[in-house]
Amino acid sequence: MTASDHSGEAINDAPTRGERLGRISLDWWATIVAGVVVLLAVAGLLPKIPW
Amino acid sequence: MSTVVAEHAEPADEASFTSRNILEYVPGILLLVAIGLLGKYAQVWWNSLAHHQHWRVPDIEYVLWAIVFGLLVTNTVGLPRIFRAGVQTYEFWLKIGIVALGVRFVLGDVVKLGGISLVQILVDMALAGGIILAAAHFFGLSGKLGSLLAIGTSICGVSAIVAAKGAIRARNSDVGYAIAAILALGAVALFALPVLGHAIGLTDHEFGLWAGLSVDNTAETTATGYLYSEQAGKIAVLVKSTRNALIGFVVLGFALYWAARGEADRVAPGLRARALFVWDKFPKFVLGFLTVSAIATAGWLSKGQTTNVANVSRWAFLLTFAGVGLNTNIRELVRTGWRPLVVAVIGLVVVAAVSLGLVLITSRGLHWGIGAG
Repeated sequence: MTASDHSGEAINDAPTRGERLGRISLDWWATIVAGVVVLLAVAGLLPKIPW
Repeated sequence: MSTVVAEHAEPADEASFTSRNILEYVPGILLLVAIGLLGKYAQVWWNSLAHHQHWRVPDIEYVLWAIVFGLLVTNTVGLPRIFRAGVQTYEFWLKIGIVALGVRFVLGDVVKLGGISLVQILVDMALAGGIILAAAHFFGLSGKLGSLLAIGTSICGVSAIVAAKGAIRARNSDVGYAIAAILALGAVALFALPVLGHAIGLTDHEFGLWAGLSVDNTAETTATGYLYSEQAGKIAVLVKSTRNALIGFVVLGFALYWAARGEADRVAPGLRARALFVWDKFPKFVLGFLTVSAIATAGWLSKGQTTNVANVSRWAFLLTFAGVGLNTNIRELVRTGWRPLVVAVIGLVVVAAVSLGLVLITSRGLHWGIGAG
């Protein structure tokens, strides 16, 4: 097996971006989305709906 | 809570997001918004009407209105399939609300209250867990169903049961029973505890501690706390998050017990493997809550920015409260067998009594406690 074969296998075995994103648990997603929402609120970019 | 008990036998992630098509969530999320807004404005209309008519009536909080409207929809006309995917996202909004709520806490208070509640949780878990296991044995439930009820009642409801399902190799029917029983009790606690709290004369801080220690499912804990007052709601969320953080340790304990009896997969030996097991079960949104609290404590946010983030928390919780009502199907809960329910009722009464005793001893006897900003 040549070096190029090995690199080809490595490329084939590497998870795609979609697969990597799919492995992130909902718990992490909720935390990431919450972080983004908090950042938007801090930056004043969310619609200001008074409570 | 769920409209269909069996749905909760699936992992929590799948129960919250059941479709890959983002458009399928839109109708349900819009329904959450509509029910939440209806609840919020019902409080305003009710107060205005009472004021105009010179009625002497209690102020009914938006939390109760939102839950009741949701309950009415699900238990009368039913929840059409088109709304289900979006309505199931209510725990996702809960997590967002909890992370944003971090802005209302000083990190020192989080550590102090977390430490106080940790002591209470450990005592509560040992006493209540032991009594529930004994009651399950007395009523002839399977050992694993007893374990699931003990985990769900003493730690944190559905998430803990789902986390334990694979680790102790529990049967789907046992998981379904345990979840249904925990959810039925969550609904009971939601309405009973605030009434009892007022009758006993608990302060907001005491009630928040009590709700955080004794209500099993995080969404119901949050709703129970906020039904009493906003301050009680904040404390309840913090205490419940501390309880949630212990899921990994408790599930590990039960997994080791059942593996030793040859009735569950062996847990990999070694400290590193067990630390990874605990980390895998750890609720990650707690880290978000702590990060936001640390940023607020560092004084990096202006008053306006703090208000904006606090409002995000309130709106996210409003969707959660609507979801609690919409996901409570009383007929489905009644269909659960009576034995698991009896054990779960014993669990609720024991946990509520033990935690109330702990709260009163620590706050009135030992004068432990802090205020949340």
